This record gives sequence, structure tokens and C-alpha cells, in this order.
Amino acid sequence: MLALWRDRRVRDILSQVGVGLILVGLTVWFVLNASANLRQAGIASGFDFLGRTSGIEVAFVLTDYTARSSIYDLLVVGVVNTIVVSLLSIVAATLLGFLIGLARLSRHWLIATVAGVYVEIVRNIPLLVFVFFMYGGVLAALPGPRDSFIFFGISALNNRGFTIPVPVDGALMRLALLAVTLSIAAHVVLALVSKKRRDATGQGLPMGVIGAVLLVLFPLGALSFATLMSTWDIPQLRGFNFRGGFVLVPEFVALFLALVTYTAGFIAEIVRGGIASVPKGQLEAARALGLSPMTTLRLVTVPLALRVIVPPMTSQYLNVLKNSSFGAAIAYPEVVSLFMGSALVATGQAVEIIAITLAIYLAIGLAVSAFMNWYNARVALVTR
Amino acid sequence: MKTRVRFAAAFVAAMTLPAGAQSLAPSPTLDAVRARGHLECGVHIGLPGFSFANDRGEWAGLDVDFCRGLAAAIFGDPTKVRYTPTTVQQRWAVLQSGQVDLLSRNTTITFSRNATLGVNFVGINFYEGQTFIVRRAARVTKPAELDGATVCVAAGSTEERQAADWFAERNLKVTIINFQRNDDAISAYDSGRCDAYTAGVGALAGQRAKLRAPNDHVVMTELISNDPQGPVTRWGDERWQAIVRWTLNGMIAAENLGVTSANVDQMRTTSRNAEIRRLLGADGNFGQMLGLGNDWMVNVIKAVGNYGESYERTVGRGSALGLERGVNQLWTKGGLLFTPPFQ
Amino acid sequence: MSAPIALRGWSLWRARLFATPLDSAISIAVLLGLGVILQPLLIWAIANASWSGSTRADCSPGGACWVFIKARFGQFMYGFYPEPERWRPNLFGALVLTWGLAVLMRGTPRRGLIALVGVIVLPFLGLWLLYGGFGLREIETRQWGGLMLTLVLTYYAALIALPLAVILALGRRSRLPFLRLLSIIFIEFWRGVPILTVIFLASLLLPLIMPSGVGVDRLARAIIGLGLVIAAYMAEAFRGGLQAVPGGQAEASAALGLGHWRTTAFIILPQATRIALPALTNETIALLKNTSLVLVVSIFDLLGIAQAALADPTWVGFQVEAYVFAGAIYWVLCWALSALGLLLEARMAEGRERT
Repeated sequence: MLALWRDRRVRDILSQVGVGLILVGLTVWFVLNASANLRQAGIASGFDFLGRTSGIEVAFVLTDYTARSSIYDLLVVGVVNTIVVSLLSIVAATLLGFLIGLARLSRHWLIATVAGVYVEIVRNIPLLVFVFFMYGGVLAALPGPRDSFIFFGISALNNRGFTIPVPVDGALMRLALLAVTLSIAAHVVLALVSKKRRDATGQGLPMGVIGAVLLVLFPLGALSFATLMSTWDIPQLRGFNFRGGFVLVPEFVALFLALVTYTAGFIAEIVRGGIASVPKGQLEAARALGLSPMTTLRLVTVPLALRVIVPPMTSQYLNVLKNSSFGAAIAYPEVVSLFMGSALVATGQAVEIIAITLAIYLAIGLAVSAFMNWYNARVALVTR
Repeated sequence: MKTRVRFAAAFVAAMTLPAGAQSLAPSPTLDAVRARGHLECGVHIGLPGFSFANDRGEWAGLDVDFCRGLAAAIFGDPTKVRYTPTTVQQRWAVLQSGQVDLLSRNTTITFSRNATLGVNFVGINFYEGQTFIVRRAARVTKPAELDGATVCVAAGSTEERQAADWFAERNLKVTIINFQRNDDAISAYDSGRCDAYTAGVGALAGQRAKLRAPNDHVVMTELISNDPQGPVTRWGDERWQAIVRWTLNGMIAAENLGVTSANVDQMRTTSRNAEIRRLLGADGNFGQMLGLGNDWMVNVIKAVGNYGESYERTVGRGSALGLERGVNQLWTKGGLLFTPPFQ
Repeated sequence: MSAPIALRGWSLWRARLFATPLDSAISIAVLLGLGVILQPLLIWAIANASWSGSTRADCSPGGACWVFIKARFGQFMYGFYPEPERWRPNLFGALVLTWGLAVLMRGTPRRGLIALVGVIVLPFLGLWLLYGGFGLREIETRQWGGLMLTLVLTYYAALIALPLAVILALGRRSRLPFLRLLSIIFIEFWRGVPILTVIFLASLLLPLIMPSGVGVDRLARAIIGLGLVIAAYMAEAFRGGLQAVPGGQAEASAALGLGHWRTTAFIILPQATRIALPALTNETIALLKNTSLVLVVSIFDLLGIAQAALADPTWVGFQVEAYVFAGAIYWVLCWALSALGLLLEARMAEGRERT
């Protein structure tokens, strides 16, 4: 018996089986307890509740949800809102983070110091404090509907949000946006083809002309056609507030600002580390070749730094996605506040709702990771 | 460990209860309360007049009074109760999982809650009605005039759906902003995010104090719903349900019968009214029938008074809220409060 | 390297700010910008602020009302912890600090022993002091709050997370495929979901999966939830450290006749910890900051108690003061933690130079 235990392979298998059994046992015990507790408490179970009418009004909806839609549609609204605020915050935080990261490396003492102080302050304060503070700040800074800031007579900014005109029938506009997206995609594909051809033959496609057509002329034409042909619902002040149009709610703005200022502090550090990691010899070589500072930055520093920057950046992007759940604290209707908040109380089915919410975050997270891994592989290849 | 404590408690209970108690239906909740030595009460996280902790952490309010009364009924001591503050979202999970013995937290009685959440509503201790608080400067007096307004509300409350239904039915366009916690909704309303905040009349009377300039706001008098509220228990313990129900009924009956905290001792010995005698345990062993002492209601009334006394002290004229009795008056005086007879 | 020219006083500032015309222009622009932002802030926070008094009537409009913070100071620090018993958290804090100092000071005799005893004994001593029993008055966790609760959450969650993280990191690098898979699933699951949902999860689901009648304390639930998530993040920090330990170390240790577990415990882990220390410090800071999320399940930590104070009718409308005060305390704590991290790094690097 003891000899058997001394055999490494047997020991390996036995110990794994042991851990497996303990885990299975624990899981079974938890599930049994849960089902007994649920039965005893008389709580309904199953996923039927997703089809029930939600009855919950939501102030920031990008789908065609109304209070008469199902709880499933409510979930979709939450997921869309989570993705929208995360994506926009990621883009803005990356830009601001790069700026601050570069500022920290500035030769100018004052700029570097101010950027350093910003990073030190931001990184040592909880995001939740930011969220509450921004929300209070946004509401305090904006006037009431009667004293709104009006832009070009068609949009209004006040403490109910930023109201902009929308087409009465969105079909044409959606079609135009789709066409623009396709033409941008076509440009990307052509640019890749052109690069490949240039690498092979030295002669690429005329990207200047193609770019002008696909990125500027066609989108402009399509959008102005759709704009002119649609009837517009222009917000007007009636009674309490502006009627009509689409409202970008202050909760969105506050959450966006909080996520951007907070995340930028972390991205700045990553960028600084990445740029600092570029070997000095590379820069000296670039200067010796007579490259201008801007060209050096574009062709030498950034590509080299990106190799170091991209992996930690991935986890920052995932953090933004997860941190968008802080919107629940200020009534931004994202997935936690709508689904784990309103829908959970309406149905009482905690287990199902929590499981769905977690699965959604894991799925989006996996998608982001996959994309960033793909990008990382691309950047890494540049080193040759 | 836990089971041993429970055995010990059952044993002690069996030894101390007089004969006749053996035929009682089992009540695991009451046994657990006795074994623990205190009652666990789920209350609102902070609603002045109903359940509110002052800056020393002492709880007071109409709903809190009921918890204290129930503790007095069980232990003869109103301090043997501990409070779990719960948010709108947490309350059901806290009750269902057995962390509290009951909820006493201005919770509206609804069909679907009763049918799908595994909870019982044992009675009504406050007839609430939903309405709105608006700025005086907005010059609106009726809910129907709120067309186009933005309304702040606590997510997961009955008010959230009731408001949505009410406005949809009348084809009024109202934007509703759902906050996870009442206090967040109030402070957002205060900072101008919303034109109105909606909640029950009683709740609004208390929450109004949380505004920076309470006098710049008015509570509308027209109600858009009736929301009877009362204590909630779990399914599966009928005797516990009966104890909670009849403690509440007893407080209402006491007011109707003229029994107060001041005269309860005297009433017990001198009253000739048969119902008073049964209520106060001078006749009929009513307490024992529930597994309590016969002087249970005496303890309740000494601790928190009858319903009227408790009402006036916490939300009525004796309090900062200054609410009239209104529908929360006895049925004999034009209100809705009614109690079945102690027979 | 030649010593830099020592600049002092005006010449230093001139070199920093006004070396070239462009530099001067930038400096002036930045200074002006700072002035525009900071001036009203300073006027609000200091010049126009009210410091003395005891009610809101003592506060003048247009300035910060620090009176509010003063009036509620006890609560911001201890929550509803009864006043006569507040020496207990104070004593515990002092004990942990003394222990930490003793371990950090070079002259302390038997440092290793003190460190070990502290790690094992202090958590239990803390539970006894804070919660009571055995001669002390029992104080329920729902009365705990404020800064004290923030620190308790951080301390105990880190205590759960650290050992778990080591196990997970070793598991993820184990040669046993099943254990490796389990560790990966565990780590990636907790890293993939928001901490807010984990706190909801712990508060709603933990009671459900326990046999009926077995309660888990509210605070304990939050600590378990936080501990599990941070363990996953710390495991990744440890994994980075483990990967960076040169393979030769394990081989040399095996050649000296040390077994697998002893090699791991005495050779690999200490080196991995040193490498992982900056990342571990960051995760601890993240943990401290994330404890603020417990306010969603109505546990009144520092931020939660600040918000609760705002709901008090006598102190309505001082949001900014409450958040600035809470933010400042968090900042000091996080800063202290990162300073501690740097100190430890320096210490461990010294040890390395000696060998």
C-alpha cells in the first residue's frame, strides 16, 4: 500500500481523484441545500420569468423596449447599455491615458509633475467615490430645463440630460449607418490588401483616392441623404421638460466621466512603463538615421512600446467592462441595476438571475480577451 | 452544535410551559427565537417615522415598535430584539433564508409576492397610498398634471410599477428613473434630477425631512393607489404566523377597547369586559394557546402601548411627521383598521 | 557618472520652469490653468470653510462645512460601535501596528518568531476584541462601521485571499492536469465578473446554499466574497512571480536533496513573493478600495456611513464634504499601503544583495 503511494503516477491520479470527489461532494451538498431551501420557502424556479411582462420603465433605452416588453427584453436593454458605456469609456480613457502617460515623461518639469499628481490621486481613491462625486457634480453643474443650454435651436443640455433630435422613422438612418460601416470595413480590407501587395511588389493600391471615396465622400453622401429624407423629431420645451428627441441621461455622463478619469490614471502608468521600456539605443539609432522626433515616435517608440502595453491594457479594458456595474449606484440602467436590481425584486428568482448576469459578464469578457489577444499577436509580429 | 442548541431550547420550553401546551403545533421559528434569546426583525434601512436609527444606532418608528412589541410578547422584554436593516432588493432574500424571523418594514401586500416569493402577509399595520412630492414652484397639484415630468423612484418597490402602470393607462408620458436605494432617489430629486419623487404618503412625510429645504416642496393629496402594508413571515410556520398576526390584532383591539399602557395593569384586574379580560390574560389562557405566556398582550401594551399610542408617538401628532390618523383610524371612528374578535 | 550640478532656490525653479521661451510659455499656461481650478477649491475648502460649532447653523454658505465631519467624526471612524467599547478596535489597531513595526525594525530580537506568532494569533485576538464574548461585552457586527469596518474588511479578506492565492497559483502551474484546470477555472471565473455582483452573490446566495438554520453573518459573507475575488487576482500576481524564478533554483534545491514541497516552501515561494510584491501591493490597494462596494448590501463602511450621515435630516446637503473627507482617508490609506509595499521591496532586495 505504502509502495503504491510512493509511485508518483498513482499518487498523482489518487490526489486528483480525491480533490475531484471533494469538489463534487461540496457541489452536490450546496445544490441539495439550495433546492431544499427553495422548496421550503416556496420560491418559484426555472426560466419562465424571462417571458413575463416587465412593467418597468427605463429612462435610457437604445432598443425598442417599452414597459410592456418582456423581462428578457429588459435584460437586453441592460446588456446593450453596459456595452455602450464600456466601449465609449474604453476609447476615451485610452486617449486620455496616453496623453497623461506621455505628459509624465515630459521633459518639462511642471507638466510631468502635474500628470504625476493626477495619477497618484486617481489611483488611490475608490471608483465608487468618483462615481458619486461625478454624479453630484454633473447634476450641480447643469441648469434646470427652463434654463437649458440650447445648441443650434435643436438640442438642449440640462440636468435631465442632453436632448438631441432623432428621425421619426429610424429605418433610413439605420440603413445609412450600416452602409457607412460597410464602406469603412471595405477601406480596412483594401488597406490590408494594398499593404500585402506593396510588400510583395512594391506597388500598392491608390489608397489616397480610395480613402477619400470610402471614408469621406460616400459616408457624407449617405448620411446627408438620410438626414434630408427623414422627418426629424426635434426636442421642444413643453411643460416640465423637452419633449421628443433622444435623451442622453446625466447618469450616463457621470458614469462615463468617472470611468474615464479613473481608468486613465491606470492606463497612464501602463503607457509610461511601456515607453520607458523602449531601449535607448533604438531611439539613438533612429536619430542617427535622421528620423524626425514625430516619425521616431510613430515608427519606433510606439510599435516597440505597444508590445509591453497591450497585455496589461487588456486587463484595464476588462476592468472598465466590470466597473461599468458601478452605474447601479447612480441609477444608470445597465445590466446589474436592471436585472440584478429591478428584475430580481420583481420575480424573486435570485439564483437564475445571478447566474445569467455572471454568464453575461464572462461571455463579454471572453470576447474582449479574444480580440485583445488577436491584436497582441499582431503587434508582437511587428518585431520580426 | 446548532441542533443541540435547538434541542436544549425545545427541552427548556417543554419544561417551562404549563400542561396543555403539549398539543401545540410545532413552531420552529418560535423555538429558534427562544433558543437565540432575541427576536430578529428585518426593518427598513432608514425611513423616519417607520424605522430609523438615530446617531447612537437606536432604532425607533412604527414598524420598529411592532418588533419591540412582539419581543415583549415572547420574552416579556421589548429590548430582546435585533434589527437587520434591509434594502428594497434584499428584503425577500433576508426573510426567505431565515436571517430574520419577520419583516416589519412598510412592505406592500401584493398578490404576486404572496404567490411566488413564499411569504405570508399576516395583517395590516399601515394603510399607505402612493403619491408624489413636487417643488412648490412647479405649481402642480394633481398627479395627472405630471405629463412630461421626470420621476425618481426606488427600484423594485411597488411604487416603481404602479407609477408606470398609472401613467401608461392615462397615456401620459413620464420618464421614470429607478434608483437602487430610497435615499439615492431622494437626493437625486433634491439636486434637480427629477420633477417629482414618488412613494407612499407616510413615507413621504418622513423623507421630506431629508430635503435641503423641506418647505419648498409639497406632497400631493391625491393618491394613485392603496398600498396596505404590514408584517411579513415565511411560509411553513403557521403558529408563528398566528403569533405575529394576533400581536398586531391585539394592539388594534386594545385601542378599540380603551386599554392603554397607562391603564393596562388596572384593566387586567378590574375590567369586567369579557374581551378585555381575554385579551389581557385574566380569562381564557389565550397566550398559552399560541405557546406564549398569558400576560403576552399586557407586556406588549406596556412596552409600546396600543396601536393608537404607537401611531401617535412615531408618525402621528406626537412625532416630527405629524400625520393625521386618516384611514389608519379604527373602523369605529371612520377608518379602515379592523380587528377580528378575541374569542 | 558625474554628480548633477546642485541647483538651489531660484536657479532650480528657473531651470525647471523657464529654461527656454517655449518652456516658459508652457509653465505659465499650466500655472494659470491650475490657478483657475485650485483657487475656488481652496477658497471653498479652507478660506470660506466653517470649522467650529456643532450644528448646521454654524456653517456659512459658500464654504465647506467641516463642522458636519466633526459632529459625525465618531461615526465615521467606528459606525455604531458603542462608545465605551471603542478602546477595543483601538487596541487591536495598535497591536497590529506594533507588531508590524516590530517585524519591520531591524533590531528586534526573534523577528521571525514574532512575525509568525502575529500572523497566527492576531486575527483571532482581533475577532475576540472586536466581537467580544469570553468576558467582553458582545458587539454584533451590524454595529460595526466606518473606517474601522473598512480596515476590518481589508484585513480579513486579505487574510483569506493570500493563502488561497498561493494554493491557486501553485495549482495553475501544477503538472496535474485536473488541478491545473480547476485552478484556471476558479481564477478566471472570479476575475471575469464584477466585484459588485460577487458581493450581491455572497449576500443572496450564501444563505441559500447552506443548510436551513445555519446562518452566515452578513459581514462574514462580504468578507468571503471579497476574499475569493482578491484571491483570484493575487493568484495571478503569484503566478507571475513563480514564472520569474529561474528553473535552476529548483534544480539546485533538488540536487541538495530537498523534496518537492520543501523546495516550493523554502526556495521557490520566497523568491516568487519578492518578485510578485509590487503586484501584490497593487491588489491589496484594489481590495481596500473595493471594500467600499459593501454599501450596496447595507453594510456601513467608511463610504456607507458617510452616505448614511447624509440621510440624517439635521445634516442634509453636505455630500461634497462627505465624499471629500472619505476620499481623503482612502487616499491616505492607499498611499500608506503603497509606501509599505515599497519598503518591503527594498528590504527584500537588501536580503538578495547579501547572498
